[in-house]
Amino acid sequence: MGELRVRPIRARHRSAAAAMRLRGRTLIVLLLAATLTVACEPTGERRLVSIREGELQPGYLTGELLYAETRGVRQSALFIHDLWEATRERLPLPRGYATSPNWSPDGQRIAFAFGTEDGRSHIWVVDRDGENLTRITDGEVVDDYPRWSPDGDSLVFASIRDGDYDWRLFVVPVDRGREPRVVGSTDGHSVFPDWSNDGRFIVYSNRDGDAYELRVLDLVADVDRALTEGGEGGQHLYAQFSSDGREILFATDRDDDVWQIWTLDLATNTQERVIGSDSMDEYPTYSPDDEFIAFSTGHLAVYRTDGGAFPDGQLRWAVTQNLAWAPDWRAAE
Amino acid sequence: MIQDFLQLPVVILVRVLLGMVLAFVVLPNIVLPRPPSARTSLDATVVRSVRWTGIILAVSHVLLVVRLFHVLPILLLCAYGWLRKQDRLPSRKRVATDGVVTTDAVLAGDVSEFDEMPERSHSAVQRAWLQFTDMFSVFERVGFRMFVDWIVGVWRRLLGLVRSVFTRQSALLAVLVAPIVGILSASLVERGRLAFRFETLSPPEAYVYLTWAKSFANNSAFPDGIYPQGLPGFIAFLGKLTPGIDLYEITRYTGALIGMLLVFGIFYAVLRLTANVGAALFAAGAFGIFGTVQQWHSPWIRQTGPLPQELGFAIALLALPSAILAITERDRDHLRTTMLAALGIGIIHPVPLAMFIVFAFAGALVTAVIDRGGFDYAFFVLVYGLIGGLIAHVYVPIGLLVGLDIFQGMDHPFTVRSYAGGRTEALVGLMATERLGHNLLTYVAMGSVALALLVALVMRARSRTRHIGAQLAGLAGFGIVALALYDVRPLQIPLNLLGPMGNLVGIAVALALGAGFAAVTAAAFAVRNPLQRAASVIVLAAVAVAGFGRTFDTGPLQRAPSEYEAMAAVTRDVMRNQDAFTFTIVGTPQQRQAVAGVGTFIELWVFARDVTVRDAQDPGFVVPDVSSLMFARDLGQTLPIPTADVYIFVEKDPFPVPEQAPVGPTEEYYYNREKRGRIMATVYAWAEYYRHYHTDMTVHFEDDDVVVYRIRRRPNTVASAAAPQFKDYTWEPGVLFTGGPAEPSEVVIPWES
Repeated sequence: MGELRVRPIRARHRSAAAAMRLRGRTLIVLLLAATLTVACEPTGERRLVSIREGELQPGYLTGELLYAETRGVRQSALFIHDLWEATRERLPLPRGYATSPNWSPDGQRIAFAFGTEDGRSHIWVVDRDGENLTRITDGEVVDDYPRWSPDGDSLVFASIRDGDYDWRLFVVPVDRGREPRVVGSTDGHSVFPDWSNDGRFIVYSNRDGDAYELRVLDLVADVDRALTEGGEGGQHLYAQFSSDGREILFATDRDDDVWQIWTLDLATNTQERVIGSDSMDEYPTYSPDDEFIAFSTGHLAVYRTDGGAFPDGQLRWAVTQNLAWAPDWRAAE
Repeated sequence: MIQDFLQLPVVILVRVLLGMVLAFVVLPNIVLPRPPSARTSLDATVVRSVRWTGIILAVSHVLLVVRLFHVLPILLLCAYGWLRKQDRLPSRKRVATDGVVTTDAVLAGDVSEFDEMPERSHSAVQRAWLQFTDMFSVFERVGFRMFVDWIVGVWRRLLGLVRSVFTRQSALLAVLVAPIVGILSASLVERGRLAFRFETLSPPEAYVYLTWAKSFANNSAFPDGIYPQGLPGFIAFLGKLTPGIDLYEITRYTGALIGMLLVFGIFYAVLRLTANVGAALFAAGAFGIFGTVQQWHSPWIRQTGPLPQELGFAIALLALPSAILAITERDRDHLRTTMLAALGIGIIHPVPLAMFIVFAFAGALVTAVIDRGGFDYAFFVLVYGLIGGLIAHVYVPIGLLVGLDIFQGMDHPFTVRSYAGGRTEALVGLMATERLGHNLLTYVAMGSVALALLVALVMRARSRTRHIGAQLAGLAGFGIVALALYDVRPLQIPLNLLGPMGNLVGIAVALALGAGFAAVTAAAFAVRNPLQRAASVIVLAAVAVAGFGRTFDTGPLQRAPSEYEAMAAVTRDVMRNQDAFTFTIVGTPQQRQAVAGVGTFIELWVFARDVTVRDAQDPGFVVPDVSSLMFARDLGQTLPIPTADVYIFVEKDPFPVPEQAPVGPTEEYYYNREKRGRIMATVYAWAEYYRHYHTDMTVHFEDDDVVVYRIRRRPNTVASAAAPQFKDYTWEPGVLFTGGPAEPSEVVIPWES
């Protein structure tokens, strides 16, 4: 009797449980579908996404990438990466803090900043093969971010010196024939300069308030003007001219506090996000043909300027594995 | 609004108190069977709590060893379910009606009922629980009619409960209970005053126990080597039952609650052994309300901080009556209580365990002498105590077997050193002035012991008061032991145990005062009416407590901070206002122990070593903030968690720390005033430069002593993990911080000068 009463109940429970499982699966499928729908929604490049990244493939990119890499606390070294061969070599420099390397226009020399234990740093120049190491600046100063003039005769760099505790831009001849002279804004801090290929403009970041803004200095007309007005919010650093001088590549954290790579069209003053990843992308630099952008995201990575994928389907390639920054790209000889 | 209210210090204290009541009063009353030796609901509650403490600490340690401490609440639920299925819970049919009478009689000191009244009741807690569980029985039944009957039944029972509150007996009980509730409240407020006023944990060892409690809660056993983890386990268990309260807050208030438990222990021991509520109130009142009286020899700071010896003493006080009652009642159930108490105390600390066994045996022996019998039970008290103590120390061979070392932190008297450090400058100074010497109070205690023994002999001669007399002698026996330890040179406690010994002397003196009061008012037993008898001794006790207060001067509230109050307050503020692991604190060991398990942390000395002014000047420099090594040691995790907010704590005026030998990085860098100052100067200079050249740093807090900088930015997981800074915690003795500005005031900030 008892069994007769129990069995139908169990059977009913089984069918009810099966129905519940079915509903559960349906619910899960619906949730997954909804999630995928939201994830795949074409929201444009403003949406932050985790970029798919692969290893640098040899035989695709050309030229040499020069960059600084961490070798320990207060220790860094400069490396030259042959992108075609996917091999690299270390510049034979003394131990210390070497940073901000920059190819000379002819690709035969390298300017960089070298820091010492006492907290000073100076601008140095060395040959591509590590020979002829020459100090360009001296004194109890902090010099950094050197960039060659297009004719290879001068360097523009940022410095804290002359009893002034703000960053200023200076231009100095490489042959040390004259003392460094101030250029650009003298209000607030001025850092990260870059010279246009026609030698007429210097773009740099200046902070005279809460944020670093981009400014451009016309050396011919002696006009210094702001490119970003602060209305966008956030910091604007690491500006670099495109090869034709029409665009400026820079990094900003104006959106969501994430450092991302943007471009600024000098003719129209329109700004556009190039890389909208959710990682911290800094120190962007164009390839010589402006087809690619190398940048630091902890390590160094390369991205197609048009946002397209690399041959293996990845959206970007990792050039290094270690903590590296300040890349500079020169064309193959 | 509600959140703000729930975070008020007094509300947190009440929440921790309720958690303690739930953990160590309600749960044992639900799970453990009623001890056969318990004569009253109060007895049953206390004995269950004592046994429960031993069991729960032992079970916690077993779970800790197998890294399953976190399942303890689930285990308790399963135990309850199993006991209920086995029908081993307190009978649901014996609904109480006269439990109030029993408690009333005992509090009134009615000896005849005290000795002979059989238990017929449940406690109020049990009744409430039964009614609560009855609500669920409806799910086991079928039919609307029964559901209606159940609703009606519950309603009638609720009405009955409300009516019972307003009976004469309830009112009488309230009058009798009010004094002890008042004394406990006063003692809690007195011992909680420092915790209310200051965020800094005191004494400094509290930081060590906080760290260990966090390790315990995260299944990390013996983080500093083999050492009793009873108090950390106690705090961790409380943490399981006080949701929404950080272990920091629990540690902060646990000291005051343990201090109150000591007072209750004195009350219970004297009441249970003398059946004289006046004596119990006098002993507890004098010690509880006037705890800062210097003549107690009881270091006040020890009563306010979470210290294992004091917790052990509190449990010992609750269990000592069992050792005496085992003689007078010849009941082996008391021996079980003794053993489980020894188990719990042994897991907490060996010093109170040794004291408990010695006191229990001595008290039992004196009782047996006066009672002229029961020596075999006295022997069993010793054996059961030793067995419990031995079981409690099983963790030592287990720890050695798995390769742990014995904790080596007691490298200096009065100090306990965790790898993160916790030092006791004030305690050292305090102890120096606290040499034990006789004073009026100790002379009164000695006289009380002698008088109690004399009166015990007289009471022993009368059959009606025979047992009480023997028990009174046992109580006096505790005093004899304490005085022997106090005065007999070969027995004197080594210097480094003076701290707990001081508290032990205070407790023993209080017990002796209770015995003396009971002896003086022994004639009250001639009064037949229990109410009149209770009223008379309560009035006498009130007069005696007031007289005690007038005779002895109370001292100041001693405090031994190990950091600036602002450092602790800002740390706690950050912890309260930010989600877990969304912030990193760069600070001293005290901050580290506060944020362990809640946020990430970088030691100030490591920060000072790895940053440079050159970094600070670089607008492109981003502070990496992962301190995976220290984090891993806290929680057994290695996942680096960079955070959006970094708080950098700097002492503008370095905290005046006690100088310590450089036995580790904590001592060399923080307990060396020169190096502490240089570290602060380095970080101060770096922060001021960083603030000048960066836009993401603000001054989060600043006063005359402390400045806290805040960096707010998007965390960079990849760069933080890959950066070389703040990863190396290797100690290189004598290498770092040998030069530079001595303190932040010597740092020259060029643009400000």
